[in-house]
Amino acid sequence: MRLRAPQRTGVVFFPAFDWAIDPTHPEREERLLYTRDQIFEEGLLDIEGVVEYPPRVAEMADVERVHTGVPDLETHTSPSHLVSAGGAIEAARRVLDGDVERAFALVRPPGHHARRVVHGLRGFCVINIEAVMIEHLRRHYGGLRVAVVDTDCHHGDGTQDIYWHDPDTLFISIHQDGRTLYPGSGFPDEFGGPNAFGTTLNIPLPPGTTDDGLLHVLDHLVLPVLEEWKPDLVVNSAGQDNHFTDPITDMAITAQGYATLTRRLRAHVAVLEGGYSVQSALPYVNTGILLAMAGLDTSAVIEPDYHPDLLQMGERSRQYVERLCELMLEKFLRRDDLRAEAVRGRTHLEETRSVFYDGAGIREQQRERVRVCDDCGGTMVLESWENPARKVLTVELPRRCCLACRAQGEDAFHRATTDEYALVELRDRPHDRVERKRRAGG
Amino acid sequence: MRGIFLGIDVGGTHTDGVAVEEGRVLHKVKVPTHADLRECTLDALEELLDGINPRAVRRVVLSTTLVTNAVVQGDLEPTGTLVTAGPGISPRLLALDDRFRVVPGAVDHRGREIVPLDEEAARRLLDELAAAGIRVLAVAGKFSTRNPTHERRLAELAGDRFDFVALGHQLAGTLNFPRRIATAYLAAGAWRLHRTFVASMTDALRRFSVLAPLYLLRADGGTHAARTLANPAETALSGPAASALGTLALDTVAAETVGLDIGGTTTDICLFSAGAPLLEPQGATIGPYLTQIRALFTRSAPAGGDSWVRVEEGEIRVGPRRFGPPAALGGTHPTPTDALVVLGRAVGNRQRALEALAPLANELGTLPEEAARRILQAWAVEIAGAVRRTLDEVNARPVYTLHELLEGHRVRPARILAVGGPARAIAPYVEEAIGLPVTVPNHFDVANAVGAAVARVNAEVHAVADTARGYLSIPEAGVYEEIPASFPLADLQTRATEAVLAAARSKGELDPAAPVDIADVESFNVIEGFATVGRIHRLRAQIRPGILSRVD
Ligand SMILES: [Zn+2]
Ligand SMILES: [Zn+2]
Repeated sequence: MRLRAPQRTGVVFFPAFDWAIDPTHPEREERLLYTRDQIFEEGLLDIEGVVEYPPRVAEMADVERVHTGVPDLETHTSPSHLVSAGGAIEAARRVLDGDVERAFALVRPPGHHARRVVHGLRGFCVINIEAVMIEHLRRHYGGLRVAVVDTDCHHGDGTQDIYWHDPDTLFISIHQDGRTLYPGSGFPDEFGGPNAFGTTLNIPLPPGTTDDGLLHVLDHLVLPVLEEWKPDLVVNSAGQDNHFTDPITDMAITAQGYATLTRRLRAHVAVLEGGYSVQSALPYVNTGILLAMAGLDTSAVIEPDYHPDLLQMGERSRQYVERLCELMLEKFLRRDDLRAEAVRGRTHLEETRSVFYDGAGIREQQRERVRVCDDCGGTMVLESWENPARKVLTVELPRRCCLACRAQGEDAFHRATTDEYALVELRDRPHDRVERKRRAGG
Repeated sequence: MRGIFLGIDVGGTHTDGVAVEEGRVLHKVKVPTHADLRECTLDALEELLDGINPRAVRRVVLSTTLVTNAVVQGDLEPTGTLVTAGPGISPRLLALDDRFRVVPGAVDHRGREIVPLDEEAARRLLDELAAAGIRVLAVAGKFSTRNPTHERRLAELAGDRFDFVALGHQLAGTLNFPRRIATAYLAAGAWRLHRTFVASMTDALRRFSVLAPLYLLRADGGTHAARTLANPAETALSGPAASALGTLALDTVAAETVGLDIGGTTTDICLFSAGAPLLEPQGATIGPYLTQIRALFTRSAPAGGDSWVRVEEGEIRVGPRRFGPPAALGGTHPTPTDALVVLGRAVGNRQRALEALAPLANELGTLPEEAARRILQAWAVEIAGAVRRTLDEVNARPVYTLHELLEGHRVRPARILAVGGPARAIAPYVEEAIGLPVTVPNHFDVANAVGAAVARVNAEVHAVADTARGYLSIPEAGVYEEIPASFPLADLQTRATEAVLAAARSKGELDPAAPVDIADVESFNVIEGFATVGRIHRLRAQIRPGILSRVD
């Protein structure tokens, strides 16, 4: 008499009912209240083969593996972040341990706008929970090739930043065009750093894109790319803010669209990101995702506000999406040749940028220099400052760091002085260690 | 509460009864359980009343397996099920049998009607069920605890063509549609059986000149006047509840405590925290059905006195299988009870027990007495494992706030209370296997009947006030009404307290000392667009499971 799931599915549900950025912020206490009501009323957690796991609390070492905090990580990391990241870690571990085939971390707060360096709150995010999860997995389960498919309506610029130079992490972001939405990035020419060319893919979609448009991208670009790249683990950053009722975006995706996407993508781990239509979308979308992961019928998951006439995509938009997918797939398949052209005759690539923290009202400047390397992800040296008198320098030795890159990175760390920088970090990924020099007096 | 309390617990092999007056056991009886539960209940009653003035009896409480047996043996009455569903899981996945019908109509998570009830379709389906000879009906709507209008209307449309209509929202106020369907289904399916049983028991009491009301014990350890019990399925699993309450009555349960009821077939485990038994978070599982029926949290280990004992690869194994009674009592297979008989700790034919244990002793290369001791150790280790798993399960229950997750309370019992026939004999072994002190109270052999006798009336209601929608709902109490936008949380507390007291009174005589607890209080802003348009208050009011008096 108990419904049985064809696919064993783990759920980490942590709505954090006692936590908000502030009381009227979209990221507030009751964001998952109606979702809980729907999940409980549907009896989803009673289904045989759907297993609920409590989140674990991530350790600071897990966060440190990904982020540099200014002035330090403790300032920015609250228990809510450790539980949210810990929820994602727990979900993924259950999959890798073989307890379940797939898992959904239905947790908050989200994290995909949190970049490598953290000066404060950005796009509702502080700690990148997917990255913290992935690096935890690599530490405990060995070197995995991981694909992150970010289907949140906003460009996952934080995750992109963290994995920009990582040839072992494929980051694909499908989002509303950055010319019309925060954070304003995520264009097709953002294609990965010199040693990880083609492992960042951005698919900006026109406002008003429907299920058909989204699923076209999935079928004609994302799935063929995954087929070719062959990840060990597929992670879905399952933002739900491209729903047609979302108050802060302009897309036209339905619960059926999400359910179909989930069924076809077959991600091992889905992690909730954004989604602020807390009454009209989230209860249905989350039900659809969970049922689809468990391999159950989703045909009756139809929002009360759904009306097919409202959700027609214009012909021009449709053609644009089709053309974009063709071009992107072609570019992806030619990524090695394109990289060779881009780095020809260069030993280093340097880039400067400015990052705005909408939640903290501050602007960070960055100067990044990465060694062009055929043998590893390349040593990266990053200067960051909000206040020029308190610059931070981080040197990152990549996971499979070659000897030349290590020598250059260690040299850069030793030469940097605390007169020049308030904080200098050597992030030694192969040894899972962070070494620091701090200016006296804070 | 003065007077004599009679408690009768119909178990798998024995029916136990006690008469209790002012905390003293006047009489205890044990009779064999018959296939006809009425017969053994009357046997026990007759023996109990021997030498007692029937007019001094204040209450008669029965814990029976009537409904459980009917569920397990498929003896429920054919029941028509009507549901309204709406967005979500496909309702056809939830059908319990082929008399399951879906009526168009839907309510959302806030209780807003999103699809009006299709009355025409409802009439047609009701006609169909009635024409097929169906006489009892289960009605359940998704989110009907937030808005019962569709369920109520379906009951009206059913009219008097059906003898009984169970409405899901009245049976439990929690959210879980599949469990709501199953709960209403069992309520309807067991209705006639229960009614017949109660009528014959009431007659019998009258014949014995007992004028006191007849109560049934529920799975949550509460007593319920037999004539007002709307959901007879609530009496399933009352056996483990009876022994949990008996344990509570026979000793002082102050600290966190594990309760063990060591029986023939199984060892039942319950937990006490803050002086009360823990409850099942979702509801009872009855046979194959997951329900919303409030139940004490009990777990059963298939390791009892009659479990089969054998040696596998040099290790003694106890259970999970069982082949009738112990060898010492005429059975064919060796059991822990035979080990007790060999050691002179239980009554039985010692010669037969020795014969049964001889092959095991041979295999272990030791004398029968030593083999018997090792069997008891192995039994205790089996029980200890089950206790540990039960604690792990309780401590892994999910929580949804940071406060509970980070500061959350873990159950760490300080002692064990053991009841049931072999409790005294096995206690030292259990103490060693678990590493906690084990106490065996007086009357440990009839703790279940004691629990039935002194169980008090308890009750629970769930209350939701949605000021943005302007509705108050307390489904178990039949409350669904409009409220003003200013309706505060304090008013909800008052209404829920009144409702839980009224619900309790309808179940029987209230223990004046039993307090009303308010639990699971939540209060959230309702924000639409970017404006706060109201608040949602939710809470649960309860009279906790408990006892009317200690028994020495
Ligand atoms: Zn977003
Ligand atoms: Zn290198």
